[in-house]
Amino acid sequence: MANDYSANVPIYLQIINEIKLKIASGEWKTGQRILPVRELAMQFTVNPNTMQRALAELEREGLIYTERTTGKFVTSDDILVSNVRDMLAREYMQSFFSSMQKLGYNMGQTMKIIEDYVTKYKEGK
Amino acid sequence: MLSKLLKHEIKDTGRIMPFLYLIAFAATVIAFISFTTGINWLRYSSSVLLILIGIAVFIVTLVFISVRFYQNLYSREGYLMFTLPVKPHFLLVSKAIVSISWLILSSIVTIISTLCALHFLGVFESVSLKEIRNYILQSPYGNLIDAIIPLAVFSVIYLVGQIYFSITLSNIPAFHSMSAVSAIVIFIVLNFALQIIDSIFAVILPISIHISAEGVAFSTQTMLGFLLKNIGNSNLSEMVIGLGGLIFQVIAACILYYFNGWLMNKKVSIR
Amino acid sequence: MANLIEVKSLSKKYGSKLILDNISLSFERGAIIGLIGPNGCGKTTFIKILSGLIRDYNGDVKIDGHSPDEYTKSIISYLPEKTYLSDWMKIKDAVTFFADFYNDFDRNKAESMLEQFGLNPEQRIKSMSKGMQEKLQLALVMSRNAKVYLLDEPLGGLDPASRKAMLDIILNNYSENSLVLISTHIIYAVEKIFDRVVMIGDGKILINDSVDYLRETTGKSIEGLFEEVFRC
Repeated sequence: MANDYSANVPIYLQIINEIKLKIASGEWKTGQRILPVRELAMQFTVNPNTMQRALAELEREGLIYTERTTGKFVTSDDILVSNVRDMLAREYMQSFFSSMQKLGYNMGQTMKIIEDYVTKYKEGK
Repeated sequence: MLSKLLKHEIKDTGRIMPFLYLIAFAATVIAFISFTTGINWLRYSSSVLLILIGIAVFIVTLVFISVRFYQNLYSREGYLMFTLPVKPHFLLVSKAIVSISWLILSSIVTIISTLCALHFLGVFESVSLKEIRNYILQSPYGNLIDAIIPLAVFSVIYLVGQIYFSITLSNIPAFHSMSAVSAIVIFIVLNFALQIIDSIFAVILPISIHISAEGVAFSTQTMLGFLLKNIGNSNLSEMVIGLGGLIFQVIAACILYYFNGWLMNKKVSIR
Repeated sequence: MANLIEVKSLSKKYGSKLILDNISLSFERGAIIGLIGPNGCGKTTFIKILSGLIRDYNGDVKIDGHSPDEYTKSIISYLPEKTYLSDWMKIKDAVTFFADFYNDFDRNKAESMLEQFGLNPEQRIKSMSKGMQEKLQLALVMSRNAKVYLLDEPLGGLDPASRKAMLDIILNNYSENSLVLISTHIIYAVEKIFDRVVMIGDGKILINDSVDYLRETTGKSIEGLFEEVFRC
């Protein structure tokens, strides 16, 4: 697992993003039970209190819920999951476009590069 | 916890000490075989070697217990020993008990090997050990013979106290800048100073034993008074030995061990 | 519940040199705390005072309500920077030694950790490299169910794979009732397991805050912050 957390973002926020990605990509399936905090902390190699904080935040957003006796589960709400997926996709796009902007490409040039890339990618396949 | 410390101390030192005794034993066997061959030069040299080895056993024991005390407590191993959940002076007590026991055992080995060597050299052909013993018992000193073993044991306790104290003192922060040699220097100075005070107490305190043809008795004479009275008298029929020195030694030994424990509890810091 | 470790106005001098200058700190249960600072800034001295190795200091140190003594030593599991096992010992002798003196020592845990590190119980300390000895000591120290773990530079001699294993061990051992205090100058590899970092420089506490708070307010990683604070 890539635990190369970027330096300046609080660790719990990075964990939240990573877990959202797991949920959105289906690595963590809807309704699936998740590991206890301590084991998740070990898996991510982070402090258990940090993991706890991240899970609490995810729970507040409704992506995770706690069943009193059996533990924590991924939400079964498919709409919520697809919303997360859309949100992540928008974030990626945003970061992509801002990177391109830094490189000096305007929107039109960027679109051209994307089209070229897609064409080549299809040919390559 | 003291019993656990003792157990480990015996186990640790028990890896080395028996080898010393084994060497002394081997030397005795060799000397005995040489003795039975009847070849004189072989008998003499092997017996002399046996005496030297006997003495070496005692000296090596002394060096071993000193090095062990330093190494186990004040070198890197001290990080483990001083963080054990025991009172630091228990470390001292466990080490002292085990070291004193080994030293007594080594003394016995030294004495036995020396006696064996003397036997092989033929010393006891003209006069037997029994005769020597009887001679002493009949002399005015006869009554003192019972005191020899307790005195010998005490002198071992006293010596170990001095060695351990010197090593501990050399490891308090004030001496950290100096090398390990400081322990030896401290020991020499301490030993010398104690002997001087010891001698002064021995001659000036009015408590002594009086030895004459009638036997041994306690007296309140000072040794100094007796010696001054008998200056120039080369043929003494009686003798006064001051007990002040011994009393001082007992007190000094108690202070050394107590102060050593206190330093270990309060002042020592491991580098 | 009172803090597990409470330090008030702690000072320590070596000769005329002030190593710790009037430090006050407290550490709570259930936390993993990083003690960071350049070498020779007082980290090791601080840890040695907590462990009971240094007894002549000024100020007040309370561990679970006790000044350092044989009780605190029984609840503290201390990993020094130095290797401290006798050369003649085999690994199994060292395990026995720990099992004898520490009631909270878990032999099974030790054995599984030794296996994880690839250490053979029959091996002699003398024949082990410094890195192997450090792993052995770490395994022994982490096999205790102590209230306080004091780890002085535990990452020093470890290769990256062992470093990960060691972080796993610390996290696996995490308990709400115990405190883990880790001194280190290698920050990058460990900062994400800390709740809080305490930066010591010149015998004083320069920073004492949660990792996420520091990242949020400074926009820097702890390592970046460290480099900034201790720029020479």
